[in-house]
Amino acid sequence: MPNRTVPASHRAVYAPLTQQGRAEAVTRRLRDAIVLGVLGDGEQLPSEIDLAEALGVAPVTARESLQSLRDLGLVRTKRGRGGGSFVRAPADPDALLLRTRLAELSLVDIRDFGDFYRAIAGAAGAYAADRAASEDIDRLRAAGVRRDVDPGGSRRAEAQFHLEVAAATQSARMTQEELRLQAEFGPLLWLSMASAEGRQRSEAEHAAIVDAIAAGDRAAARSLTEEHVGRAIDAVVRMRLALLDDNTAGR
Amino acid sequence: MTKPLLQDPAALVAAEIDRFCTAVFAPLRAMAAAVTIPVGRAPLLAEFAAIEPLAIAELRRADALVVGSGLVADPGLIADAPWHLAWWTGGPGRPIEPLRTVSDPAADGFRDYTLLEWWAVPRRTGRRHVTGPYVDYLCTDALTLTFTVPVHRADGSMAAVVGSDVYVARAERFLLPAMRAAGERPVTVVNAAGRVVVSTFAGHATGALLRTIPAGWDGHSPAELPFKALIGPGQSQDLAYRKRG
Repeated sequence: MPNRTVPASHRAVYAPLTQQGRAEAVTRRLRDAIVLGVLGDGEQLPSEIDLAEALGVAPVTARESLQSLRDLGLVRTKRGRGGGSFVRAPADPDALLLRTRLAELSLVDIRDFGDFYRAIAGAAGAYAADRAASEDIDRLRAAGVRRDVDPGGSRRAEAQFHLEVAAATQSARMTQEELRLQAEFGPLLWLSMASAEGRQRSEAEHAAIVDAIAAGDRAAARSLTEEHVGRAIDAVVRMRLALLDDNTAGR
Repeated sequence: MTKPLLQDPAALVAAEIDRFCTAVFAPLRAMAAAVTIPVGRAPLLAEFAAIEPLAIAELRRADALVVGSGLVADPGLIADAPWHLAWWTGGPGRPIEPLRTVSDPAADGFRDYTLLEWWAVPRRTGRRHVTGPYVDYLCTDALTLTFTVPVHRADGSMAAVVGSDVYVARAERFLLPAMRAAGERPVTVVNAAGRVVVSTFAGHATGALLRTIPAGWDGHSPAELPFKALIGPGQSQDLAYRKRG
């Protein structure tokens, strides 16, 4: 895979798996990337061999995972010349997400992830306030206030905003951790973008965070980021609880 | 909600907490009864052989509630095995294996379990105890509830505890359906210290500490159990969300 031209969002998708690479983990990572829209509709995936190498798993594991993605209808494979595996964006990403991913998580999982992610995102806000230059501020503002109207676009914008804040810390480790956590929890983190109200509030919160960073106010940047992420996690918890009611009703 | 409300929702949830604790404590009582501490001499490790099948049966429960189980002896109790943990871990999808611990007090990896709550409280009170939610760095490496029952010598001193570990995530799965079915009001289950075990209110994060009962909430304690069911005020934000969704 050509590394130099791969955007940051794609590097997270193809970064080596930290745990023992298994088909399930590979499937989950690619599935989240497709549902989140990091990998766009029609985009060609690397070959089995390249995918296996990039993720540090055996080719047979990559093959198994591609098969699972085909079963989920998220990938389609063409044979012959110009063939390969291509992304099929789901028609209703939110419904798929809720069905396949959120139901697997306990409130303990969501909270544990949320607390840790909030700690990292909050610290990134504080360091960004110390270190962001004025051109960084312009980029942060552009990334944070996108006026996106659809849930998928807003989720991508949300993810990118937090990556930009992390990058503004000048800490490679902090940025990698931000990438890793976003990849691990995937699009669930920004399920709050499903409602127009959630999207508007998020943009207002981004604007306040960028103002604090621009003013060099590390305490405010940290607390505003923590509150912003906290609200997003609360929304995930509420959706998880609502899912429980659906399951109970269906029994 | 289709179920009619026969009783106070707090009482319904308290009854479910009781059912949950009984599911873990009842087999532990049998495990404690399987141990006899001899009078006038120190027992040998072989005399505790009855523990292993009982502990493994707990790990193989159909409800998969228990992830660790066994006996922890007083450091000086067993003649041929000081600082002994006869403890097994595992369960569905994972191999069942004995927990390996460092029993040499001079080694770096040694941890003095007599300082830990699941040992110290039954020793002090002479009664069963539930520790947690806490992050169990000795065994499960996760947010855990540890249930322990003391085993006494003839003179009344504590010779050992028998116990079981339950992931808080499993406790959550057990309790949530009843909490949701209890009515429209949000429900939070806390331990004796006020630490949140599980809640249907997004503002009460698992593991958070509620130092006092929040304004507008009512508490209900199941008899003799270190938990409390808190019932929140009527229409919460969560419920507004639920109706929209």
